[in-house]
Amino acid sequence: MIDKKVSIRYARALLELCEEKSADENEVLNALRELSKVLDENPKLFEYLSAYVVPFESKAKVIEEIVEGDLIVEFLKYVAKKGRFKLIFDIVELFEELVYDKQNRAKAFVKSAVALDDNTKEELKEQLSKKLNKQIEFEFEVDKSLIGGIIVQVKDVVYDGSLKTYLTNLEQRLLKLSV
Amino acid sequence: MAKLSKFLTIGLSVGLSISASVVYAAEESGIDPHMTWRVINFVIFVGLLFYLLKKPVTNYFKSRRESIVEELEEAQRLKEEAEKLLEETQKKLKTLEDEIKNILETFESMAENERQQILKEVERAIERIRASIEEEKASLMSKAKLKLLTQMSKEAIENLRKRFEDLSDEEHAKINEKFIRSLQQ
Repeated sequence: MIDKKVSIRYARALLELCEEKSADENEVLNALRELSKVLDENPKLFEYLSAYVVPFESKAKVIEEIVEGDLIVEFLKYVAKKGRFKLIFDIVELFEELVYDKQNRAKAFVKSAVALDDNTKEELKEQLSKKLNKQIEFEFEVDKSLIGGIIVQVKDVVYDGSLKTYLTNLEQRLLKLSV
Repeated sequence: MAKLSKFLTIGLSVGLSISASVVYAAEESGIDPHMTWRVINFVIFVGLLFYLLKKPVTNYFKSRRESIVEELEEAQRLKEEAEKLLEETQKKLKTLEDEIKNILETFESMAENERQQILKEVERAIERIRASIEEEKASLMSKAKLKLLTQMSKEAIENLRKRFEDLSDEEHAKINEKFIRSLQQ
């Protein structure tokens, strides 16, 4: 919880920095996504940059090597200097949310029991964009454990139309009736 | 002492007169004169005895009489006391009998109450046991019913799950369409 609060402070600071420097938030976001990907694939690199025992100068050199763009480099150096590099994944995630909110965009994760055809995808995009009044970016995934139907998650909100959940709810209702 | 001398004088005089008369009469009648002296001696002896024993004997009998009277009075008093005691004892006995009767009645009443109490307790206990049995029965029925319903629910859900697993593409499409439509609401 404390980490989350700290992370959101850094994410907001980065957004303000982008505004001050008139930097393209999407570019910054993309660069940070790339960085997250690199760190995710190289856990040792992440550990090195997060370690307290590693001198700041060494970390700064590494940051300069793996990231491009003055603004991002400076920001990451600042995070490393403050000993908060271990929060970088959270910071990126929250920065993405802030950028999306600012641009009235949202990311939707869609899971379906069977692969959706293009028409269905379009229809879903249209309906959800209309419902949330936002520009939605979709990520589709097939999950057979749903048995049937679709689950859509936008930030913390979940729209669950899966048969798996339907059966679970039905079972609960029947058990309650039995009691 | 004066009385004694007077008495002796009189006694002797009378004795001598009588003895003289007796001796004279004996001599005249031809009776043995020794016999006369014997009689005189006897008379004197009797007189002496009378003189000496009269007062003590009188006193003895007087005191004896008084003693007997006192004893009689004492006996009477004792008798009265005994009667009184008897009466009191009888009264007490009667009271005691009444008390015993009362105690017995009280005990009988207590015993009856106790018996009634015990009977009530037993009835209550039986009622409790009966209620408990009914409750247990209901609980068992309820458990059995619950188990059965749970089993039926699970079977129904399992059947539905199996049915859903065999959905056709069209059915999947319909479900998805329905979900997308529900987003409008």
